[in-house]
Amino acid sequence: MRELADETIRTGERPWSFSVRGLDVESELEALLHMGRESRDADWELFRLAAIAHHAWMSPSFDQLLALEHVQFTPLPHQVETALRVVRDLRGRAILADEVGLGKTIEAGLVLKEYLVRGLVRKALVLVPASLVSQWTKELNQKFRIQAIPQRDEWTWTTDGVIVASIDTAKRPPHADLVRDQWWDMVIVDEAHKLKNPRTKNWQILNQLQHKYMLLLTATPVQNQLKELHTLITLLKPGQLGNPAEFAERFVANPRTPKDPAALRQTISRVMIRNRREDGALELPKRHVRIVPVELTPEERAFYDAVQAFLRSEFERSRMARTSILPLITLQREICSSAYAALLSLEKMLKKTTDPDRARRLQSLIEQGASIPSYAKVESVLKMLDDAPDKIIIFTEYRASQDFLMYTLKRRSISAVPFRGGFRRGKKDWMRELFSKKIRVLVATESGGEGINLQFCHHMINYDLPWNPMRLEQRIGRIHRLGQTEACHIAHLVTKDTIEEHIMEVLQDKVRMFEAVIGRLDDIVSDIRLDLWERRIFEAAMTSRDEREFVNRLKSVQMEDLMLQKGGRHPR
Amino acid sequence: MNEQSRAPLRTAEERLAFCDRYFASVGARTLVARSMYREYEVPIDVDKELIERPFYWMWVEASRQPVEPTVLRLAFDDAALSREEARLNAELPAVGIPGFAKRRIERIDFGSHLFDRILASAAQRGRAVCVREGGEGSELVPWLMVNGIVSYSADINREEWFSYAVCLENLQIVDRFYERIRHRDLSGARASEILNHGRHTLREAWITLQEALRNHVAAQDDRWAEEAMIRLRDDLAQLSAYYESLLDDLSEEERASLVQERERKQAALIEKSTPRVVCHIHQTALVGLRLQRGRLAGT
Repeated sequence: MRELADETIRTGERPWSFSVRGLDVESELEALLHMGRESRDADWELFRLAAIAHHAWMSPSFDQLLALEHVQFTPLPHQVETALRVVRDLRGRAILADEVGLGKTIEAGLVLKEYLVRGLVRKALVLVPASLVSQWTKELNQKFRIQAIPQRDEWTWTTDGVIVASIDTAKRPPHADLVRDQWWDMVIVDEAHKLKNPRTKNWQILNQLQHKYMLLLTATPVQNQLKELHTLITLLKPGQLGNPAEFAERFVANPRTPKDPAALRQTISRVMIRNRREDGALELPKRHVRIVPVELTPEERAFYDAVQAFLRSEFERSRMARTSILPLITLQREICSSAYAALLSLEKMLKKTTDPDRARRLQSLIEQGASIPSYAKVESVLKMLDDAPDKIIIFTEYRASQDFLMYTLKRRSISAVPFRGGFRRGKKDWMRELFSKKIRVLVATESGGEGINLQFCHHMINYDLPWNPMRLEQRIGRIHRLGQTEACHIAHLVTKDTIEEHIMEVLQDKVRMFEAVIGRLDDIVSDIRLDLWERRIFEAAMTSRDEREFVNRLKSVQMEDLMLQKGGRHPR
Repeated sequence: MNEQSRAPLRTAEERLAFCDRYFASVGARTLVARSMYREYEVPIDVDKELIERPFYWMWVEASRQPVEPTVLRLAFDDAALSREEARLNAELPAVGIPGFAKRRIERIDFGSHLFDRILASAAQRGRAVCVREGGEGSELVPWLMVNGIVSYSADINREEWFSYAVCLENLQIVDRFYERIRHRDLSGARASEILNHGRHTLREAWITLQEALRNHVAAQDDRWAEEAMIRLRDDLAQLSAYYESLLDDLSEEERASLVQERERKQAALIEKSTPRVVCHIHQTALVGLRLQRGRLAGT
């Protein structure tokens, strides 16, 4: 009797296969026959209750979002619409590229829940940065009632259900082979901009996974070059944008400028959804962004100039010797952050050098840096803390700057806690909790800031500026996101007459490329007039000889882009 | 096929009524019944089905400890939850006593874990039954009924409830059988009581039912599947063109690796998007209906 069940039946010319599954009718009837007792009246009641249960679980239509009845909160309209589009139109493979703070996690959770409720997903993998494993697991369990578990060991990969894991663990042996061997009904990757390079292990492990549905979550699908978009979309739907050469020919004018933005937008809309605040996706309180110019003290200026001179000569030396300029770029970035941060790199260089002249020069620079009596940026921060009585988050890229800020705040009896990527999950949760309840200032490094939600705070100081505009946007998104009720005040500290001053322009340029393809960003930088652009390009050309990457970026900016402000208006 | 107009259990009242019926059926005692609130003392077998704690039961069985029956406290709306929480807190001693665990109330709504487990328990316990109409001695028409869900799936799915029964006397098939009998006064019976009245074997009946299910599915509109197949063919063509374009100028080893990757991705696309129709049988029953002369046998 069972031979027909579980076996796909030929359906001739019909466009589907057919099978009978579920209850083993033969065995159940055998059991009834040999039970030796009659069914109880209660059994008929249970039979009727079972019929109700199956009716209640049923998915009655193709295009209805059933997950909404199963979750413990009411999602916002744009989140519901996005989840529905992913399931109905994009068929479960999509990039969710909402601006930071609009709820990509919610959208992904809704899609996952929808497939779970419909019985189309039984085993799913959620790959996130290590710092977010707990947060994702908790949110899936509490908000979506998805019994997700964090990955603990090699055995976890082989279990059914929803597994939340760090991508860094997944790509490493011995885990990578196990992850590759599984069949995943769904894969979700948070912070998917980390998949922009096809030569990385991150991208390769994702490309090797066997999966049905896939969601890639990133507010910044393009960071530096258009080909990153191709790389990301190829993971989801190989061929959607052609092969790399076809993509370059059809869509790329230069690495950062699309040839036909409208056509590119149209093509990627088949795999990507991006909600923006200005489209009415979400009424968040206003954000006020201002640039705070900082004048270096004479001692800092002398030190900065000395480091610049050192960098120029080192750059020449590196070029002749064909050695890496990466340490020089790091030093350049550190000196933009603080003299204190630069000292650490100088000390490292001193330890490594075998050239006595170079050692003397480095020693002299270190002594000069160490003798600086006061730091202009720190003084600016202290003044801003005096002016704004509320909680403040201070972002810096460097641990040394963070340590120095913590030390200074402590000396001034201002309560502060640090936050960084290297903290264990529990410590991160604890620091966040302290900041929300008792502490006035959180001093966070870039890596520590990724993914944390700090809506209870609405003041931010960017002690230094990342060279990547999307990271700046991510920083701001920590406070300017769902749940924020106050206007947000964001200050960028920019040191006058240093390379940092030009970074704002580079950021603006990259933002424009991003906007051309993906859609407009918020005003994360102030509008810049044409005369400022010209002067800054000139200064950049003069000062950036030891910053090859920086120069190239400035050179590739088109004149018409410089003439246009956001929204296409010409400046006065 | 039954087109249910509204999905059940979407209101708090329906969930409360369902729980009352379920706990009564499984032999639980109702200790407290207040507005939108219940306390049920559950038997051990039910406890094991509703609360996931295998290690606790291993310990209980290993140590042969006597266990107090679990009391489930269920609130069916927010007002009941806060009202009863306040009551329980007031009953607790003012100073916390070590080991004196706070009594927890579960909020029951659609999608909550406990309610899902209650539904799963009901589904498991109510999967097969043998019932008859009327008292012993009355003339019966025997039926084999199967209930379940037909799932039409490709990238996404749609499901519909079915209930078919076949008469064991003449192999007549009746659609929506359960909907016709669910309100009838049926009582538990022995299978042999019902099968005595049949001329055909259960095997014949089951084969006939499967044929009926296939016929039912074959009669449905295929457009959803045709559209899915078009999308799948397009996706496969795109995938194929992409990998073909990469194969030039590669070494043999690289080609082999790329071809393998293409095949893996093709298989994933086919798994994801191929249209399938699956009849999931969830329930089966032997039903003896009283013979009514002049009407369709028993229905």
